Amino acid sequence: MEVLWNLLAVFSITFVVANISLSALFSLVSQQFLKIEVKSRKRLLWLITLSPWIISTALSVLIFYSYHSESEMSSISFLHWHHMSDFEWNSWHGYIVGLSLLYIVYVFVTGVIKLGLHKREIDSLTRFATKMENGVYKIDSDKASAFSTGFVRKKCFVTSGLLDKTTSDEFDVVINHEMAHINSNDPFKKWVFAMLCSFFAQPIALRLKLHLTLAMEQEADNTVINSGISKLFVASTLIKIAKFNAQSALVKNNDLVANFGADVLEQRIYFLLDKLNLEPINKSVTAALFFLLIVISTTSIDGIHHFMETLFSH
Amino acid sequence: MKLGELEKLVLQYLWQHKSADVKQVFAYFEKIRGGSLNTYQSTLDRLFKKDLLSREKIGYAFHYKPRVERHELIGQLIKSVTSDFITENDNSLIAAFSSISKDFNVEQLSKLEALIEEQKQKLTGDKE
Repeated sequence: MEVLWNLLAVFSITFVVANISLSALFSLVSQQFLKIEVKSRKRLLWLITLSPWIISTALSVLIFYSYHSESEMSSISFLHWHHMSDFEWNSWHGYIVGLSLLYIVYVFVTGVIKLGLHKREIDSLTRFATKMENGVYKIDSDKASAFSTGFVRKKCFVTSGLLDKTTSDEFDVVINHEMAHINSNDPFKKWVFAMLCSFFAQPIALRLKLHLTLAMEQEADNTVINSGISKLFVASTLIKIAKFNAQSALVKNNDLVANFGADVLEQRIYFLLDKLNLEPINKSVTAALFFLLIVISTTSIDGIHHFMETLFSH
Repeated sequence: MKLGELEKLVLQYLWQHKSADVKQVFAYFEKIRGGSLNTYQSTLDRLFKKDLLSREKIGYAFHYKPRVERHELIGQLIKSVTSDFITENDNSLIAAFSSISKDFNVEQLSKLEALIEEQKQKLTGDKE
């Protein structure tokens, strides 16, 4: 059991190092993400949020393997952990493991609670909605809105305000867009992604979620375009609805979140107007950066261990 | 904001009748869906605690009135459900065509609209 707790300490420290390095790197290149093709961008975002988990697990497995074997691997200086068979909860190792486990449980539990609350809110909203012939739920509201939600029983909602303000062709754009989200299981993916983002510092997490939102919206817009609807028509529909809501809400546009929202809309319009020259991801650069991240994370472990032992007793 | 089926029905009754005490509510619902007086009393209490009803003691009984109109409640529910993925109190489970809570100013939107128009004219010009 002591070995397992020590491996959890290795996992936690590697996770923090990988997370900090990744966050620093992402802050530097975040803006460049907007120039990457939608599908590659989505994959890259998932890779970023999953990397700390992958690297920490891989390193823990390697250290475990190196501890139990006499292979060449055990001669690699940084692939070891001192006194693996010795673990005290009242030590810096113990505190790190305890805090990490507590935080993971906290993120998971709050995520599940939010999910439950959201489900009940959707149930409440459904009670005020009427099901239309196409399976879409109509809600009586003067706001123009359409959204989809649900993991298993997915539902698409539209407001009567949106139905009144759009022509049937515009309404088709909205419904096709929502169906694209439902078919790609976007609500579920967003929930998982948000949980993974909880392990990053808030400004980084917000930016990561913003990028994923944009990529998902662009992909859904692409699905509408692929069904034969013109890009310009999708763009005008989007602006028409946003303009209607902006006029009715009159919300000031000077806080961070509002700017994010405006950025997403702007990017979607530029995307639909072919103003963005999106390019495939540079695989060599990505691989090199990922390799650098692995090197930083793995080589830091021993150094951090020695540093901590100079400050605290084991 | 969460509402059960009975809470919604009681609210709808009060939107129609403006004001009622528990006996009136019970008398109406007993015929159509049964239940005891206590069930309706606790439903009214829950709605009161959720700030959806106000109440006033007349004689020995509380008389309940809706505190919000139907469209206001639906607006609150939509806002709560669609609170965006990137905000702090998000629930990250919504994929929306164009968010209500999101907040572009009309001027910005007009610029984007002009851009679309320009592209449309360019396209028409190219065809001609």
